[in-house]
Amino acid sequence: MIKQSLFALALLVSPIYAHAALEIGKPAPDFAAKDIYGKDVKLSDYKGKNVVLEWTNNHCPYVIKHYDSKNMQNTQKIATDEGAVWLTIASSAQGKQGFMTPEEAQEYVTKVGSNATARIIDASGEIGTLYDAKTTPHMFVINESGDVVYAGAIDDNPSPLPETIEGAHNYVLAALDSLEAGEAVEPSQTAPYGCSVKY
Amino acid sequence: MAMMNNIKLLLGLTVLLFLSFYARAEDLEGKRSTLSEYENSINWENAEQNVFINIYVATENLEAGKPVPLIIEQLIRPHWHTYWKNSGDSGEPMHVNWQLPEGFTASELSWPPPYNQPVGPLLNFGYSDKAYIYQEIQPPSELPQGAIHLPVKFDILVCEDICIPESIEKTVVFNSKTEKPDQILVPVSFIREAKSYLPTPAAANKWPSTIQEQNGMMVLTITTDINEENLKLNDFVYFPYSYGLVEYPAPPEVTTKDNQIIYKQQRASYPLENIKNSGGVLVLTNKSSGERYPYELFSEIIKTNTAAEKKNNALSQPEIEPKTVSGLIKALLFALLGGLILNLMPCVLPVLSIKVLSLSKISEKSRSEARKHGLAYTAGIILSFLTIASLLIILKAGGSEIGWGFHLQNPVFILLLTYLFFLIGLNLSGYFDVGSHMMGIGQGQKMEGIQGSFMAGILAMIVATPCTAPFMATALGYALVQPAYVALSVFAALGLGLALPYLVISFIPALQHAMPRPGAWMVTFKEFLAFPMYGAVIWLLWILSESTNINTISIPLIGLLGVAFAIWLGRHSQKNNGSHTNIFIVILALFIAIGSVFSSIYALQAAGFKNDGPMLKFGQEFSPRKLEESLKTDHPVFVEMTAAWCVTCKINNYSSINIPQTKKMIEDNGIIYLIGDWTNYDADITAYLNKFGRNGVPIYIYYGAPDAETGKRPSPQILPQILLPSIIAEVFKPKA
Repeated sequence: MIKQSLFALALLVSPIYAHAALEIGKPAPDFAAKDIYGKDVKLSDYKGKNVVLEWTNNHCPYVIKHYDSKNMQNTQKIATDEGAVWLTIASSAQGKQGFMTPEEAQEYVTKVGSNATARIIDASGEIGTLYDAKTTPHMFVINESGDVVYAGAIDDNPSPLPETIEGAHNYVLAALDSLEAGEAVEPSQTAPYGCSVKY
Repeated sequence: MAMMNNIKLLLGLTVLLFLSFYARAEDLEGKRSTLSEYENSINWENAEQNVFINIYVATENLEAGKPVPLIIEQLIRPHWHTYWKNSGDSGEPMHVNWQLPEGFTASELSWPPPYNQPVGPLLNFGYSDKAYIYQEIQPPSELPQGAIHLPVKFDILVCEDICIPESIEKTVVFNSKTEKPDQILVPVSFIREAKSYLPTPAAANKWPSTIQEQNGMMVLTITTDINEENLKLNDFVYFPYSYGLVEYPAPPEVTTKDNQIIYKQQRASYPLENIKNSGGVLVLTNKSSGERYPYELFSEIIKTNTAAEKKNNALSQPEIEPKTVSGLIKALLFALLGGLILNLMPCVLPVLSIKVLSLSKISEKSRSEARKHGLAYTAGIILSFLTIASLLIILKAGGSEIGWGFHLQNPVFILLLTYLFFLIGLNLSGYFDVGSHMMGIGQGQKMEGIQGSFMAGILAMIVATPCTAPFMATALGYALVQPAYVALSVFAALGLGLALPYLVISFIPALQHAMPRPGAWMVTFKEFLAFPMYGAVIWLLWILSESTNINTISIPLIGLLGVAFAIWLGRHSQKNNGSHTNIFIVILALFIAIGSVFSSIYALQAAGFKNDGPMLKFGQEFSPRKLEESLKTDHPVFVEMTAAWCVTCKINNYSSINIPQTKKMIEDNGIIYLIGDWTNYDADITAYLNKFGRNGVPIYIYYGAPDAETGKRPSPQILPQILLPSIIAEVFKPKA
């Protein structure tokens, strides 16, 4: 009861648009969740490894473009082969496009042949809000010390058309390459493209 | 299932075909000529697609080299939306891919202002129901023979909760009598009306605007040509072209001041330097009619240096930051020091010297009386400074665009100062004597001399103003943009500084004893001090000549002659005490004196305060328009804001700008040199100064040449207020 009223009070006091902007170069907000197989996933457990976060919605035409063409799976493979952790997060609310039960999700990842380390169902949108994820796909790269080093689009070709994948510059792979080479990630922030996350 | 779809498609196509034929037939009768008469109704229930496209043109035939305007109409399923050129948090604008014959080009799309399309916690920009997008096709100077086919593919993302990318292919056909084209022929008035919904281009609205970051907010300041009263009738929404400028869903705070709109919205975490395109569309929506007036803006991004950068950047100003307590103390100390220095100025020194010398006489009688004189003098100075400062603050609050030194922008005030300095000079020369208590210059030994000291304080403040303006305009101008209490404290500190030497001497008898003994030498000294005063008169006359024109100078000269003559008459009257002739002479003297002063004011006003640009040495005259045009070129731009009464400006100009070395750099590097003259009041220049947080001249701004690759200029660079040729050379050096 007290907790609830405190929460209500906090809502009243806080400005209508309370928004913690994710900052490049700053520590990535930690989160803990269960993956679609019920395994515990905690971001801070991956300290010492590069982590890629991928926001997804299997019915979004932009996501479909990257999965049907195997571009996403290939990117996942290259990243995880290099030792990075890849977390695919679906923040679609229950009843909205892209929401899947764990069973449906298990079936889906097998079908598309996902190479992600884990897939998380974030139907409450908690993690999405934490990262200010706007689109599917919206990508984040976190370095070994846990700082966000890249946020934005997967590549420089914002389009749902499959023919635009070839020749596109993959920002996520470029960021991972820079981390490996010990160089600064450039660009560290791009405009994410795609469908809106269906919170 | 496939069968069903085909039937649906056929139905949709039939509807469209029917509509386009219908529209075409009507055109020929010349009846339908406005957009609203083209309300196409699509049976959405049977339609497969979520968006339809119509292409409208006003001609059936192409002419060589003559661009053809097209209107691309999107018809969008109810509750669905398509996107603007910046789609917002998600989404994608329509892509139009023409397969044009050789020599043909298509212009960029011109988009009507979008509407906010909220999606959960996100915000997108786009269109519901329908949108008219404008494009031009430019044919080559020689047209191919026969019919011209222009196939085009539209890739459109259309969303409700979910998004569907749709493609539509059409072929626009010109110069063919037989083929049935996909476009719809309309009267020119239709095209014109659709075009009228597009934003007024930046080049046409000429609304200068700036973007700054303050406390995590984007501050967009737009100077419109609409007065405050009319501005207030509107709501405002700003749609930026570039990603990362603001958090789109964050509610903006919008205020208006005079003709300015100040639009604040939470910044996104994207660094301001990385914003490639500072353009956007500002939409004014009339609160009562709901009509929308879009204006395209290309804002100048003003980089605000972080504290660390400030330290490293030798060219940046040591700025006073009264936001913190220590900043305020620093500002007060500077003001106090400034006030002390003022005592050495040629305008103040004579008044002070006489005042101090008179002290040694007083102190012989009573110490407490000396103190009273000191306090009265200080009170006179501080009170008059506070009066002027309050006046300024009130005027500014009332919306006047004035800065410190504003009174020197008024030729009448300068004229009156000229008389005052002339009178003080004559008095010091011994030409006449007005008695001690009036000016406090004489040897006031009596108690009523206290009032004299108070008056002397006011006089000291008045004579100090022409000196404060040029040397302290910037500091005081800065104080004036601070909260009122800061401004008043700074002015009080300045006054205290000015009063301090006399105050200290009046309180410390030892210092009074250290003063030279009064004697005959004092008369000589007083006469000598008249010369700085005459010098000040010459200077004021010169300012007057700059703020009006040189021919007008005869007016105050005649006035001065009249005043001198009147004094001579008055002096003469003292010899014939009490006679009728005496009264007559006194009246005549007063008449001449007052007449001289007033007729000169009148004549000066009649002559007009125009400045025909004697300040322009080799640059071009500044105007917001000129600046905007210059910034569109590839040349670097250097802006100098100056005023005739601003000594710092003059010194800088003679020492560092108007010298062969700098002139050569300006010529060699193709720098466009713009000079703004603030000698007289100028709203445009005041607005420009405010943009850089300044309230006075000089200010020197350098806009570097645009980057060869991005075509974007670096942030404007503010040069120090004291220039050196080396500083100019460093700034003007072309960046590698």
